[in-house]
Amino acid sequence: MTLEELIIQCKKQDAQAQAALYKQYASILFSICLKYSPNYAEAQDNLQDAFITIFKRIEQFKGKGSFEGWIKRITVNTALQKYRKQKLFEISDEGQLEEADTEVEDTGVPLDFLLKIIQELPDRYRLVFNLYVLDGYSHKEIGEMLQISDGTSKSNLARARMILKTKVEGYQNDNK
Amino acid sequence: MKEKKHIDALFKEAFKEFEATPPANAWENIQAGLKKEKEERKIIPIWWKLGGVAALLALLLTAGKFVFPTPDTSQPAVVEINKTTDTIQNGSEEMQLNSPNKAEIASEEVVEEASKNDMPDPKINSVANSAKKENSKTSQKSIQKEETGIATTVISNSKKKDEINNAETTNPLFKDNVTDPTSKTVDAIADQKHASQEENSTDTSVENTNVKESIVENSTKDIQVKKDGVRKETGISDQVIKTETGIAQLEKTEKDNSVVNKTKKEDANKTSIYDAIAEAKEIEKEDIQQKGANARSWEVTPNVAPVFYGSLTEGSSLDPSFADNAQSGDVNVSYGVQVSYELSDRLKIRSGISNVNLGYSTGGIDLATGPVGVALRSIDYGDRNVVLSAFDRGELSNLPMPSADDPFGEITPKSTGGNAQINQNISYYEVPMELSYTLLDSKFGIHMIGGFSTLFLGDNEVSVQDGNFRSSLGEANNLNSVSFSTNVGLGFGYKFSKRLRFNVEPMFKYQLNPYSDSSVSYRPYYLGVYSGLSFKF
Repeated sequence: MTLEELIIQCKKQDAQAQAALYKQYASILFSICLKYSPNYAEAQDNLQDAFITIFKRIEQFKGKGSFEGWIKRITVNTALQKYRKQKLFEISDEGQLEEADTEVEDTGVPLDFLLKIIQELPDRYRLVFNLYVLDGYSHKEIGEMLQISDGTSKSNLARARMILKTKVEGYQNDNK
Repeated sequence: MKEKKHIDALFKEAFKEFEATPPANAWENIQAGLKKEKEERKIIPIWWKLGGVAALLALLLTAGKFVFPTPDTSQPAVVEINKTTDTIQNGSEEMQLNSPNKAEIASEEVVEEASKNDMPDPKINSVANSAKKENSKTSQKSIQKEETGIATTVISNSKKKDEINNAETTNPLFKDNVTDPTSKTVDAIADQKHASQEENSTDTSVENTNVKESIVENSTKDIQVKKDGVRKETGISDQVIKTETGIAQLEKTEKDNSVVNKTKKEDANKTSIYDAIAEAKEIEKEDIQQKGANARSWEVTPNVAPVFYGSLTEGSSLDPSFADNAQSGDVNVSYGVQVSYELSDRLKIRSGISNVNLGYSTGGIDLATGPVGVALRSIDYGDRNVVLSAFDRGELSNLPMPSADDPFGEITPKSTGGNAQINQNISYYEVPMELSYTLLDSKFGIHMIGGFSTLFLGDNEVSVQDGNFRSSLGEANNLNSVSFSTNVGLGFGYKFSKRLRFNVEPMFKYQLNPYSDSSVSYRPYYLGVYSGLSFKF
């Protein structure tokens, strides 16, 4: 079955097609959830909510653009929604942009460690870092999505980088 | 010295091929979530069907109530009275002369009682009837007294030959009596008494004491019937007196009380008429008081309800381009006061006023600022030229590019993340007019409701929202200021006391003409579960 056929079947709320679609995209979307969530359990919740939204709204997918892009967007939005609801964006000390050194040594740092330190970031730093660095959104887009200014987005990103850099260096020192 | 790298690049490369298998139970949870979603969607049609059934039933029952009215047993058979008791009526006319102010009440009572006794054939029936009907001692007394009223009027009648003739022609019972010589009346009385005694003894529904008294009563009635006939036939007052004494003797053997009554009546007929009048009046008064106690016919019910707004059809009241977008009705609150009036034991008519807030949101939109020309037409923007508006998702790119020399023509996307929603909130003042039919009336009651409401438009607002961002676009300009809805529902009540009841009423209200623009295919309804306390007074 091609992807198009699968989508058509999913629009008819066909259970088999839904299962097939899930199988095909679950691991890609789960990786997004893991990056945007503070822990594994929330990532799982996020994935479930995202798939329910995808199946519910699949009729709205009109074939413009890639399907993968569409479902990824929904997954990211689901993650963001949670923090919008929680209103955890009251971070003090948002001030100046730091043009600090962002270079690190390119030694093998395992992926699970990198994931762990992303998850440990404060919520908004994590979201901004993910959106900007890993998913290629602009600061303007991020500002709209999170209802913050471009400047705040930039500042948050710089702080996220600093925290991550420190942790990566710490890891590298420990494993020398 | 190792090679240095930008931290972004480090993460980018690391996560480029990152995929993670979700836990096994994730899919099960998704399936469960989808199933739940489906069930929630199904609830609406079920209510719709139920509402329809309730409406139909309510209509049928209401119609039935008027087409086949239940026979009211408490009403006297007026026709029979007129046919059989011409003479007595004449007599009561005479009585009116005697006591002009109160006579009417008395005469009516007399006629009624007399008619029972004068029923041509089935004495059995009349005996049984009177025994059942007049259970209380006081009412029996009054009957006896009323009978004396009959007696007296008959005496005065007996002097008028014309009326005697009338009686002969109209009443078959009297005719029978005519053939009997006066001397036999006492015997006949005795026979009848015996017969009526037998009838009464078979009637188990009446208590013994009551039976006894009713025997006395009925027999005296019978005697009087005979008496009437006799008097009318002969017109001789001596014989009348004889029968009277005969009656008195018989009664002596049965009960001393009645003897006393009888002699009293014989001694002072006039006073007994007034007694009867007074008695009748008293009874009437009691009746009225009793009715007053039962007729707590007004009820006031303050109520509150969560209301859910939805549409029977796809479509959007805001813009046709949103017709296939995901829409969800909001749950809002309706509150108000209801007054109901009991038309009958089961049927109530009710009205009141309440405030209803309705709302629904439409997803799958993008937000952008742009010239009024491209903005939603169903919204009143005032005289602004550049406004924030909502567009169907993906439509923004299809809009004509603004010309460079028109600074107001530029369309600036505001939110294209897919999470934006457009919300419409409408507030109505609702004045319902509904009928409620009681299906079950005990401690726990069930009733059906059907009717319509007039909706007066209050505030209305269209706003957009994306996360924490919220902005009002303006008022919708396609709403009717006065519209109607048809209402059906089912009510459940629990009586705390005679005056206080708790009600829960799930209602389905379908709006008939909410939009002034007939091209709007949106067919809204709202569901509410109204709960409130009813105070009866």
